[in-house]
Order: sequence, then C-alpha cells, then structure tokens
Amino acid sequence: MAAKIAKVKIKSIEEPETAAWLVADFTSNGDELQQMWTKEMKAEKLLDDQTPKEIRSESELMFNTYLECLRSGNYSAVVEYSKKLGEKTVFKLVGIMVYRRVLSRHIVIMSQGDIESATRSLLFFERIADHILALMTNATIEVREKLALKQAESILELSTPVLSIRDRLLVLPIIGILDSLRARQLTENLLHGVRENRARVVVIDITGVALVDSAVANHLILTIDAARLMGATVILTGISPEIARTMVALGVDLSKFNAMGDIRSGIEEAERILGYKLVLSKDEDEP
Amino acid sequence: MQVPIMKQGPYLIATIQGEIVDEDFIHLRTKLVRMVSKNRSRGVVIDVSSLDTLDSFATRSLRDMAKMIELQGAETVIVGIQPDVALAMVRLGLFLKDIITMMDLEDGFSYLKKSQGKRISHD
Repeated sequence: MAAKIAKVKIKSIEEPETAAWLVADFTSNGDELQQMWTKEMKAEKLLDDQTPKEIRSESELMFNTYLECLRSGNYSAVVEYSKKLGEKTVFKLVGIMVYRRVLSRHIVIMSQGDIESATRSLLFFERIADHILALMTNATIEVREKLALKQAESILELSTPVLSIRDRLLVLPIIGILDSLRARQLTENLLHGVRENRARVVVIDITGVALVDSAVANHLILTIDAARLMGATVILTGISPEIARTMVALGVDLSKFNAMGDIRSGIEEAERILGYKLVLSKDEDEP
Repeated sequence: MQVPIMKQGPYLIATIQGEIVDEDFIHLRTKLVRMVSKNRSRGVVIDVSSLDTLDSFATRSLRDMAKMIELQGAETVIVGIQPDVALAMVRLGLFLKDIITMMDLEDGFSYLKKSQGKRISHD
C-alpha cells in the first residue's frame, strides 16, 4: 500500500553543494517562479474557483515545501503540508506537479548550456521531487480512504435509528437488507436505547426488509430475550408473507416474537401495555 | 463482600455490589429467605445494576432465590440488568425463564404493587 512510502527514511543530502546552489537560486528567483506557476496553473484552468489571496498562499506553501525539502533533506515539511490537504486535494496535488515542471525548466535555463551541471542538478532535483510527489499521492489516497470509511460508518449509523415516540415506547423501523452486521448493530442500538430511554416496550418494524435468513432470525430472538432481561417487551411488526414462510420453514421459535400485522397495530398494542388510551378530541362545532 | 438487604414496608431490597463472589450469593440466599419469613414480606427486589457480568452460577443462584422466596409467599423481581450483560447472558443461553425482570428499582416496585394479591387466582 501507498502508506509505506511515508516511512522510507531518506539519508541526508548526498550532494550538499548542488542542494545549496538550488536553494539559493530558487530563493532569489522566488517571485518569478511563483508567477510562472500561477501562469501555468491558469493555462490549465485550475485556478478558476480560487481567490487571488488563496492562490498566493497556496503557491507560497508549495514553494516553501520544495525549498524546505531541498534545504534539510528530510520530508517532514511534505508530511506537514499533506496533513492540510482537506477539500482541495486534487488542486494541491496538481499544484505540486506543476511546480515540479516549473522548477525543472528553471534549472535547465539557469545552467546556461552547461549540460553536465544541468544533468546533475536535474537528477538530484528529480529524485527529491519524486519523493515529494509520492508522499503527496499517498496522503491524497489516505484522505479519500478516510472519507469513504466515514461515509460507510454514517450509513451504518443511519440505517438502524431508534425512535422514541412516547414516554417509554421505542420504535425501530428497519429498511433494506438485514445482514448479520446490521443485525448485531440493531441489537446494540436497541439495548442501549432501552437503557437510555427507560423503554418498557419496543416495536421493531421490518416492513422494509425483503429477506431474513435463519442467522438473522435467531439474532432477533436473542435481542428479544436480552430486552426481556432488561425489563422491556419487544413487539415485531411488518413480517411479510415471504419472511413468514421462511421463518416457518426454518423452524424458528416464533413464540417470543409477539408479532403484530403492521406497525400501526404494533404501536396500538404497545400503548395498551403502557396504559395509554387514544381519545379523539371533541369537534370544535360541538358544545 | 456481603450484600446489604434493606426493608421498605412490605418489601425487601437487595442491592448487589460490583465485587461479589460465589459465596456471597449463597449467603444472600440464606439471609433473604430468613428475612422474608421474619418480616412477612410480600416482595423482594434484587438490584444488579452495578454488575457488569452475570455468569451461570450467579444466574442459577438468582433463579433459586426467586423460587425459594416464591415458596414463602413473596414475589421476586430482578432489576437493572445492563445491556451488555443481557446480551452476554442470552448468548450463553441464560434466559432467566419465568423470573420477572424489570428496568430499575422504580419499575420493580410498581410491578410488585400492581401484582399484589393477584398472585393466586381461583380459576
């Protein structure tokens, strides 16, 4: 994986003279180089959605990252910079690449036809630039991976909500595929929800679930038993005919399910257990 | 560590603390049964909310206690089983069948008050 690149320790600069020369040269031509970079970036239409201030600060950051790496020979500056990747990941990655092009070209121009020195400087610079790029790419991938993981987690989180609809009454609507991972999460959410809300009755609605296998059915029974130990009653509603057929065919012990046809009758039954009584308020016309 | 038993009107409350060993359960059983008959108690609430594990011995002890107390004409309610404990118990197949379990002390008492006198039916 790309992450390993970051751990490669680079020896101190092998060619201190070349490095010192490059640093001095880049520093004295700093403004010009940054302008060239801006021009190149503009030509590729990469700066369209940035303010001039943003561009300047980004450009300076990148330029200084290069300088720092050349000067010190270690890449902590890149690691530091890559931590700030944030939203503009691609822009920064491309920016670093464009800088590499600008600086390489500058080296060739500055050597004024001295092929030997140009080659040596270029080879040296390229090696460092390669490494910077590798680190940046690595960081980009990490940022993306983290994002993907976060999204997966939040989807999982959203997929089993615990809703409190009356005092001491919880409803858990389940939609989608109930696999063993979600079933486990359902159990956890339910039991902790019961504790937090001091729930007496929990209605689990599986109208939106297309399929239940024997593992999940058994897990549901486990959950219902655990809830009972905590002093809560579970009512299961919305078992589709297909699921009912599978459950009977699988020989699942249905006695604990307290099944009701739909979520409405489930909630009505729960209210009865809790002692609620639904009363229609009087019509306004009536005295 | 011994389990303190408190008397509250016609009820007894036993609060099991975190560090409890098997002997304590045996001790609690003896003491509870004796106190029920001495005080002519109608109900016992056993609070396990500070336990983060209930193994098979503990579960069986609780069951036995409830049965013995029942034979003395009182009812037992176990309250405060934590979510993780409940899940671990059912995974181990410890269901505490035909034992009343409730959320907390409050629920335990309201159950005992409600079921008072209805325990023996004539049909």
